[in-house]
Amino acid sequence: MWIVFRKELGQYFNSPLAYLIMAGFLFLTGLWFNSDLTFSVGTKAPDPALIPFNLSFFMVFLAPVLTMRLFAEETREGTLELLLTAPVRERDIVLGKFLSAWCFFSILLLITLIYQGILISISRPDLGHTIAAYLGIWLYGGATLGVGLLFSALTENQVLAAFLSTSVLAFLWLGDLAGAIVANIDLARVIREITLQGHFSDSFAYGLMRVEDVVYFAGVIAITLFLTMRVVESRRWR
Amino acid sequence: MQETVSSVPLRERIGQFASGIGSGALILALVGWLWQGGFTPVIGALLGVGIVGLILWISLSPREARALLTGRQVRYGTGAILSSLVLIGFIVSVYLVVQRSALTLDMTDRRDYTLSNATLTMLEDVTRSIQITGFYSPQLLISQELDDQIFRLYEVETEGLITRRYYDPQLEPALAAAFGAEIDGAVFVSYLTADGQVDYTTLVPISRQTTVERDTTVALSRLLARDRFRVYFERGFSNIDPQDTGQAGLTEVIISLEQNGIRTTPIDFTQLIQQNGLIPLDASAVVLTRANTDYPPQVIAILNDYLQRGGSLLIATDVLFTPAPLLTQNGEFNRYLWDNFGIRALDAAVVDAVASGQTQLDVGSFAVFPDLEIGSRLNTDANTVAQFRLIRAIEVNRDSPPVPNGQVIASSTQSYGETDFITLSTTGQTTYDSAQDLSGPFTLMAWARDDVTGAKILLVGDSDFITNGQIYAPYGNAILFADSIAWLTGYADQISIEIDAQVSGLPLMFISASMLDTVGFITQVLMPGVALLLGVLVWVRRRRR
Repeated sequence: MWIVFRKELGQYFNSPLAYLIMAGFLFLTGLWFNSDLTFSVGTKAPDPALIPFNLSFFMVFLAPVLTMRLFAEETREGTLELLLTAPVRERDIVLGKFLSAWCFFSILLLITLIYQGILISISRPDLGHTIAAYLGIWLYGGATLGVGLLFSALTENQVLAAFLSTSVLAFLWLGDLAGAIVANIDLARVIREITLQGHFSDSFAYGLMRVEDVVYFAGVIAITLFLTMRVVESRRWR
Repeated sequence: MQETVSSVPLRERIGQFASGIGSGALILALVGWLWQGGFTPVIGALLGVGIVGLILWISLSPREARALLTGRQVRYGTGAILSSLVLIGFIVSVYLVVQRSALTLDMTDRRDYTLSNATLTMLEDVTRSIQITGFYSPQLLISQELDDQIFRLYEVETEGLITRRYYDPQLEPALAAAFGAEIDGAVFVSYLTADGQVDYTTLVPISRQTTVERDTTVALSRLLARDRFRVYFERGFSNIDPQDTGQAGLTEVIISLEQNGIRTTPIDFTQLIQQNGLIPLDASAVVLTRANTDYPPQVIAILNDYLQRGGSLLIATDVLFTPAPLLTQNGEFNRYLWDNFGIRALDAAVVDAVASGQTQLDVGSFAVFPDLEIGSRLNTDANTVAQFRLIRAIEVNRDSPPVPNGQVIASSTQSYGETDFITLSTTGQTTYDSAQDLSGPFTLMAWARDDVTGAKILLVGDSDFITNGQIYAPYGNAILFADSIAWLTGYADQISIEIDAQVSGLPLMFISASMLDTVGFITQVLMPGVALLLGVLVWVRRRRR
């Protein structure tokens, strides 16, 4: 697993595209940070969960970009078949690829902690709130990457994989607005219960860590990885 | 022979299909059982479908079933689907169990999601089942979930004595009407009856003013205080019917008191005289308002007994154009008040050119005295001024008071006391007569407190300000009445919640424009620029290879 992990992580850092993604990511998060900072001066305390909260929407697009090539590219180029013949288990392949994507995302997230450092130097932010929000978006990111990885394994077309995972993630994000769309509150509640935002926007984003939310994100990661393993291994016996 | 060969895959396919249906039904049954917290006919049906499906699978695809059990082909076909469904079912089950346990970690520095000490102390008094009932439409689903973060802390802290239920007011309009839920997002606390039904006579709304916790705790305090406070309204000598819903009635203040957990009961002094009765022991305060005539000695004796027991009186007298109105200046009751409490009503109607409304007889709370908390919320803006339509002047013995006393509100220095009631009653006109009329300023409401017996008295020169027609016109009248009752009954001492850190926000941030520019450069130019530069270097290096 660690061999696959190192290889995939190395590919991120050996690709100019990854740095382009990183630059765009930092520009966007910097824009959010500066906007809030300018708006907050003399009027309110800066929002400690601003970056994680905005990222919860941005992940709908970022996660597919980070994961779309992981299996789809290998399938298209035929290297996955080679990998499957190597003495390595499907579980290790899937986990290695997932962890590399999650690690890259974590590095992006860690870089945004510079914003928090700036805030600490000029203000007195609610650090507990910040830690909860970052922990939440880290788990949230893991779940979205899991979804992206699954769709990458389902097709050999990277664009199709990105499109499908974006669609599913958009649904999981929009589910937060179920109450505004669905007339039946019980149904709206159930829909919200299965969405990513329903386990982030009213808990982690407010500095509250609920064990059920941790279980939810861990569960989504486990399920998507398990399904990805089944999809990858089905290539052996299909 | 061919038929036999082709029938085997078909049987297996049916078996696989049945296994999918069966395992799906079993998972749904498990989820339903956890969700409902019990066994229902639907769950039973799902269980039945699940068992039949699995039996079909075992009988039609025995090899596959064996393979699953022995683990040799578990990773293939039905096994893969089944194992996926089992994993999903397991995770959903764990999630539901964890969700019920409501395990949370409040990571905010200000402990936004932790009940304050004041709340925890109050919750120690909860001994009966209480329900928090919220009415949220689907549009307010997120608000409901945010509120629920706090509400469920009460449920956990009281180990289920406090429970919470939510309804959609659009789906259940009759229920919303029964609660008096007029706005979306309305929340109430109430006791539950022995059979678990809402006791509608104990409804207390949670008014949204500060934080969810503070507002909820205040509402619960009011509910707990419900049986501790009872205010009696005298109606034997009064020409106001407390139950009259018209402009002259008192139903608005009665409803308001009830919603705050203070019980209200009428009391008839004429009957007490006939029965040689006394004011009940549970009377937190007695309101004497708009009496037709001055009280006879028997009533004064009843009141004296009550005051000797530490009772509290709100006496609202009026400029009444009758031969012997309540608290005639030289009357026995007025003398009693002067001798024992150092306050009395004067036979003069206050005319104030400065603090008046439409006419100079509409007198406002020009001056508020900080002796008590009663006046602290008055005169903060135009709407919190108390306004009286024709008010009697009050006198306070400040030189040698028999007990501590003082003013609550007063008229301006330019006011005077009209004593010509005949002209006033016939023409409605007032003219200052330096020989007859009294010079202001006048006390409009006075207080007195006997520290030995605990008796408290508030004397105000007008009773109309608490009627339905004037209690909210302006809002200052309602404030004055509410604060008066709170002081008389001691209610404020029992339900006030300490203002803790949760009300105050994080400190504001102040930085210079040049600092902002520096931060902007670092975060929007330098950081993305470095990432971009690294990308270019990688690209160049790869090109060279």
